[in-house]
Amino acid sequence: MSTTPKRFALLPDEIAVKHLTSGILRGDERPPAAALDQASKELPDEARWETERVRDLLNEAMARFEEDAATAADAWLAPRLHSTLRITRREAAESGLWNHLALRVAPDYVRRRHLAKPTEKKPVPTINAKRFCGPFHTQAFARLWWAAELFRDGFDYRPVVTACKDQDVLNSILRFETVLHRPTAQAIISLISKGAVQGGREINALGKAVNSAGSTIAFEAIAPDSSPDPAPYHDWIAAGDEDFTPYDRLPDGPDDGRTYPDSVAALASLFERLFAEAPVRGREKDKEKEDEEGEGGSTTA
Amino acid sequence: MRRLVPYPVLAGEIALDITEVRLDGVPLDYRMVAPSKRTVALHRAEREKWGEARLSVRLRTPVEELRNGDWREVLPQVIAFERRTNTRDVVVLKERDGDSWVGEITVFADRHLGRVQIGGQITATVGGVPGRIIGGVDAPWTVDLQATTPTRENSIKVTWADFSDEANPHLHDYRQDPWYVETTGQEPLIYLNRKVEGLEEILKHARAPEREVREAIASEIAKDAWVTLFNDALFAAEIDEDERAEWPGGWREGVLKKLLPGAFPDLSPREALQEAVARCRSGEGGGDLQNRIRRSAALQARQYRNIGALIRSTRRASEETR
Repeated sequence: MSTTPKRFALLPDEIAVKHLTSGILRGDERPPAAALDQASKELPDEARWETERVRDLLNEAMARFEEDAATAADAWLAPRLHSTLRITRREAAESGLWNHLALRVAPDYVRRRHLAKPTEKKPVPTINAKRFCGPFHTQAFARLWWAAELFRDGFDYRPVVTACKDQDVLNSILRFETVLHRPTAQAIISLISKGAVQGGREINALGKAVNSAGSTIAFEAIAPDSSPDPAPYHDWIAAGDEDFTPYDRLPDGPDDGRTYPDSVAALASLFERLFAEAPVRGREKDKEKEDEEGEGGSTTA
Repeated sequence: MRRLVPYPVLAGEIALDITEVRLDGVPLDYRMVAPSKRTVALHRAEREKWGEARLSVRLRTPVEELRNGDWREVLPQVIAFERRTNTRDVVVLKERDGDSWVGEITVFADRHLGRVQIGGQITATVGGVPGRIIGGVDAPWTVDLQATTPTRENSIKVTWADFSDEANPHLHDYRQDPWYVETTGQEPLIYLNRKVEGLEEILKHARAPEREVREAIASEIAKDAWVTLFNDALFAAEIDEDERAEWPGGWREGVLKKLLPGAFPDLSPREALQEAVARCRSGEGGGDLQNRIRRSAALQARQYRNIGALIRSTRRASEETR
């Protein structure tokens, strides 16, 4: 652990990929520190680029959650990583930062979170290389940071916790262009949080229904959002030195405006209607079962 | 190309103009706004630190059609979108002079990194359904924050490098190759090897008699690059639980949408994706697929024309020396 670099740096994709040997992907070896450091680009000398607090956060996550509690760990970590690593969207779009975090600062976390248990079919499991260096919705840390950024409602991180409690939100909904519209993201989360949509298949079906409706209906037109205001976000980054990210309770995010409740409600009711008509794998069977148990028949219009 | 939808949409042209750009309140030199290329070269503003660029936009719509059509609550919007920063900001425009709509959209430095697409859409209530998209801007603009030379949308970036230099460890294995196609980054990149004798001279400073050679080499490189990018993108396309291929997103999606029509001219892009991915997975028809990819890439690289010109010119040269 003594080799953890003091500051974050940018590790280019092409270098990162070439160092991801099968030994590292099997979890047997650590990435070569010296070679990676030499190829990385330094970041400015600012306190927010120090790795210590992120490293501490990840240690805490590993201490709090058992290896098989991956989803709970994601839900705990996503808002706190966003709160600890204070960066702009512009900075978060630089994959070099995430490569550096995964290969140099916390390869042990990537291994623990993304190395599957051996099975009969795959006696020697490997980590998907995209967890180290990959698109924003797949890379081990980028996916959590972006989930927090796209699903928070202003300063309120609670929707992020709901979003990350289900791997299907992270694995499919996070990459949809439709959730870049904040009220759309909040409407989806509200349906999950009130239990109208449950489990992987239903969440996937909802995501698809929303996406396909989004190709002919502009959700922005029926559910306005406030214009983005980068000033509070900027202040929040500047305050990072003094702020302390709590581990037991949920931190507050940047106070840059919440979505309008009317907008979210309008979309939630639209999405609920779309979902009722959407094909869900296995839903027909469930319905029959419900009918047999005498509980069938939902009353949604 | 217009999508088929089950409600009336606008047939006339929807044009977007950026009429003024103010960088932190100061009007940007008009030379950085290029209407012919539909680009705003913000990276050339010679200001390291800036906070926001406010764009004044005008959207021109088909007047008669909008007036006579069966659309209510017509709402024109301008959109600033960049996939890399997951940012899509939308502003509703106001009517001016009966035939156009104006407004301002702000590109914030903190929310963008590379190329921001400035597009637009018109929505309306149609048949009782609010928010239907009845038209989009035919030719969106690009606000370029980073490029050192203005690059056209969809072109591949090219850079010269010494493949054996210490600074390029990832190129060492390819140190004898004239070019290398990098696909792992956020954007694809072609490296040209400075150490290959004569390559730089001929590609950069070819005189008239060598021009055909340069064009032929350039299109060979381009074709090779397109084939590599296409294969990379195809392998990145995933299959959902209903066995439907999914567009891979990012530049990979752009590459597939550009090349699939040339590879499968009889299929729609969606069907072509399904077909190509299915062949990859099933392990059948791989050779035919590669031939199709090569044909499409060659068309994209204008190889037929350039190689044709090379053959004609060398033939002419040998006749002259005879």
